Amino acid sequence: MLKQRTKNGWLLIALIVGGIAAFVCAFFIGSSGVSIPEFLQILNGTASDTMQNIFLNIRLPRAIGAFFVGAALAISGCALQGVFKNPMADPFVLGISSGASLGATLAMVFFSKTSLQGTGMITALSFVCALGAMFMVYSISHIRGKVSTFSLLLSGFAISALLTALVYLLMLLNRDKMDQVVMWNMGSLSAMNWTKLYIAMPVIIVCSCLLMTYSKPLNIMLNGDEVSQSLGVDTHKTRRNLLILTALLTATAVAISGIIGFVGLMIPHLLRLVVGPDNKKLMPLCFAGGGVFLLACDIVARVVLKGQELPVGIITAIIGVPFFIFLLRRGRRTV
Amino acid sequence: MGIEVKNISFRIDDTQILRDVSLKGESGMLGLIGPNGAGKTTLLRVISGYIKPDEGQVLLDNMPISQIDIKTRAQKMALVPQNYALDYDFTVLEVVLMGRNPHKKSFESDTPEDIALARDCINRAGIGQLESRSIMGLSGGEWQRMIIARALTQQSSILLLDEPVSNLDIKHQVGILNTVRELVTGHGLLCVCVLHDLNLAYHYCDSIALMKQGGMFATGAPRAVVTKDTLESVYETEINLLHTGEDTFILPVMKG
Repeated sequence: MLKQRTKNGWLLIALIVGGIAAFVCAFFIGSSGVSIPEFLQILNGTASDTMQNIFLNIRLPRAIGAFFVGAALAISGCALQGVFKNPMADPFVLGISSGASLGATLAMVFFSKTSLQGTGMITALSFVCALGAMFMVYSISHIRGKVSTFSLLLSGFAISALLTALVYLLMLLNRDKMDQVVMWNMGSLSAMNWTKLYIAMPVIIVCSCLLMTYSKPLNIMLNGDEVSQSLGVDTHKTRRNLLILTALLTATAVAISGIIGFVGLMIPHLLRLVVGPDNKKLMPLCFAGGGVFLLACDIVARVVLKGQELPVGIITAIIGVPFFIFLLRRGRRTV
Repeated sequence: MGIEVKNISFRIDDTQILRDVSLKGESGMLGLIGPNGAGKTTLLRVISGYIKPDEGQVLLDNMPISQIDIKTRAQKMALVPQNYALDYDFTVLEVVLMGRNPHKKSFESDTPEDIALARDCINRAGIGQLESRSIMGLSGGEWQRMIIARALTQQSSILLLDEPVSNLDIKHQVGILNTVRELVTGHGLLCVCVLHDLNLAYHYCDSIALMKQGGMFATGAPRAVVTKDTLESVYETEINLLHTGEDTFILPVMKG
């Protein structure tokens, strides 16, 4: 037990150090390089307006946004894998991604992206539709006063298929917007700004903290409904609350960044392999780990191709999956 | 005090699973026996509150179970289910500590007293040496003992056991039932136990409830319930009772 605690301590230190290093890199790296003297000038307010603007209004919100989006997706994935007792569950299993995708597509089709109203509409409509999709899935799977894992997963797949079909239909009817819709679906942090963060950060922080208070019932729920109830967990109420919190977290993350895959699926798995299945340790580590991971991926997305940014979702898959397979094969702790 | 099942009926679609079942237990070991599909596990699930009956009610300490919240219910009643999957790499101690949950607020940590109690229950279940082991490598018998240790950690006055010795070899069957028997006798607990093995039920239980096709066929002391006539009528096969001194053994008649 002591050995495990030491290992957890080292992991936490590695995440903090990695997080600080990633934040520093996020400030220095980009199409306009920032030297150390320039960085110091920015800190004491003597840098040029352009440099101040790049640092304060582009790189800082983007780095903070990357961290919080990654954190929200990873902690949601961790909770959902517990709720569904299914290692394949991720934040998008409840139809949230398809809902958000439909909302964003509607905004792109009916509002101009270049206008401020258009950008705001993408965020707002993707958020509303993501939540709407999740509630549709939940209502359909609510049978005889109970919501089973099986019916939730199936209705999630069904609603996702329907909403994705609607997105394709809208794309076909508006071929001029097709590129824009496809790019949004790949996920990007390039349009991050303080306004989005002011709205998203409180939601992500509050929902994540609330999610962490459910770590103990979530551990018990891995035993299944019957045993969990015999151990004093109101599984229906707990599942409903966890789904609302994860839907809010994911919809918020998706609304400000588009759809970024793999983080919610992979980070909880990676950390579970290292620290074991106890959600009390796992959830805070997922929050920190998901944030640092997406921040690092975003830096790579910005620099890997000269003069061009890649959608961060591509990087999360390319970096994350081989590392995930490596850890899985090493099998230090079984998932 | 204890459990009282009053005129319970339960159906799924057109199939009547339980029909007008009544049962009472205050302390000691109550065995639920009967052929496959007789409704034993469903009755246990109704008693635990997991299934709501269509008619009738279950009283727990003279209060309808439907009016008792899940946490309070778990403080009074612990369940040892049939083998189920928990495919996560918890240690034995971590799983046994889950038994303290009914006595905790949702984000209250386990205290040193909780850990000491869990260790004591692990020792009483005879798996003290496995405390730090991962549950992934446990044998069937060790797993069952761990789940019994978790039920003991709940410190409830009622134990519900659903086929606790199925799939176990005879050494582990006797070992587990001896442990349960000692606990029931030593702590004045009520244990409702679904058993398939008639000989084990006859020898370990203080009273027996024999079920047939969703109804209660006979209840009472083992000697009164386990007779050639009742067993042959319920199991619809020829059965012999072999009496040797004080003991009685139930043997199916081999044909051919």
